[in-house]
Amino acid sequence: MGMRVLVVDDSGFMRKRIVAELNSWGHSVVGEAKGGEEAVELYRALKPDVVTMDITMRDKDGMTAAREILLEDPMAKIVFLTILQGEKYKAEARKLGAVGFVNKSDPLSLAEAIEQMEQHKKK
Amino acid sequence: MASQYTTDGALASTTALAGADHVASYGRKPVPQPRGLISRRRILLGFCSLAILAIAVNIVFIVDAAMTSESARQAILNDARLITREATASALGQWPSLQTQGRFMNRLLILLGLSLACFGSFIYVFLRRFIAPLDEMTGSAIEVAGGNFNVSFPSGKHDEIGSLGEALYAVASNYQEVLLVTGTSAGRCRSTLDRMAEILAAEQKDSSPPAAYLKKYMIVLEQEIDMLRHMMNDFEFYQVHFDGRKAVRHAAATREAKE
Repeated sequence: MGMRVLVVDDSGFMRKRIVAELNSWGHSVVGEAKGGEEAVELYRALKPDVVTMDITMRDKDGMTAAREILLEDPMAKIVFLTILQGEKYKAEARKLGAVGFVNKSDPLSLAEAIEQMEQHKKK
Repeated sequence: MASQYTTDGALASTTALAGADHVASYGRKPVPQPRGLISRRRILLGFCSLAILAIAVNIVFIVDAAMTSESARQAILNDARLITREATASALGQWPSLQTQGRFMNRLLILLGLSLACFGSFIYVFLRRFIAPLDEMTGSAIEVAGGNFNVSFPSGKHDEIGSLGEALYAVASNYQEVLLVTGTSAGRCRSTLDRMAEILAAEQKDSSPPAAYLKKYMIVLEQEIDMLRHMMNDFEFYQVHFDGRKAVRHAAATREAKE
């Protein structure tokens, strides 16, 4: 059985692509948020297994939203899915407690990250 | 996983791009000022002229009423100086009409005040609610068309202007994401090609077999190229579609062009 995923990205086009990819791997997308504020609200309401989180967003950026979600639920599984590259962001994500940091141009890494979490969930 | 690498695919893409060079320009085109701004100013100017005309007519009526009232008063005073029974009677006879005229003038003044308040409020609301956000949106859209995505669009309002702002923001953010993904992917392809070139250069020196390394990097290139192709498939274009390797005109568009 796939994971219940909440997709957070301010670009509708990217959300569409991520949802298509996740569906093709057998995961179900339970919600889509186009900003950090909406992500926190949807997380509270839906309690998904995984959140794919963009970083650069207009109202509230992904790092802030992830911090808020993890403060409320330290067991939340957040994978940053971003175009930003560099150790600085990865380190910040790790420090926050995110379980993954994936580049948007590399969807296979997202599949691998979610698969790892699925294995972890089964155990 | 990634599909098999095909040399003919790469060749087909190269041919398609080479063929497109003479028909397409990739430079940014200058964005002309929208004509809507001119027509909107004309409408506003027309409305203001009408409103000013209405207020001017109102003022003329008030002045006219005031002058009539003043001449009636003068007539009473002149008559009163004569101190005749007839004059006093005449003055008393005119008194109720003077009162009526006074009331009429007061009403006209109230009407003028209300007209001015309505006109002022309308101009304020029109400028603040419609013109300012529309001007901001137009400016931001021109910036985006010119390649600057670091602009904001007015949103948050639950009306047509807010919806338009949200839609323009969505266009800009989608456009930005696609460009960033394309740029990142191109960067990874470039790095991979550089590594492949290094391996081939090393092979010339020490004759070690580079096949395994090259295969690994080819897989990276395949993945990047496939990702870009899949991203292209998610778009809908006018008159053409992307068949996975090149842009092809829609049959309907081709027919129209022939006709």
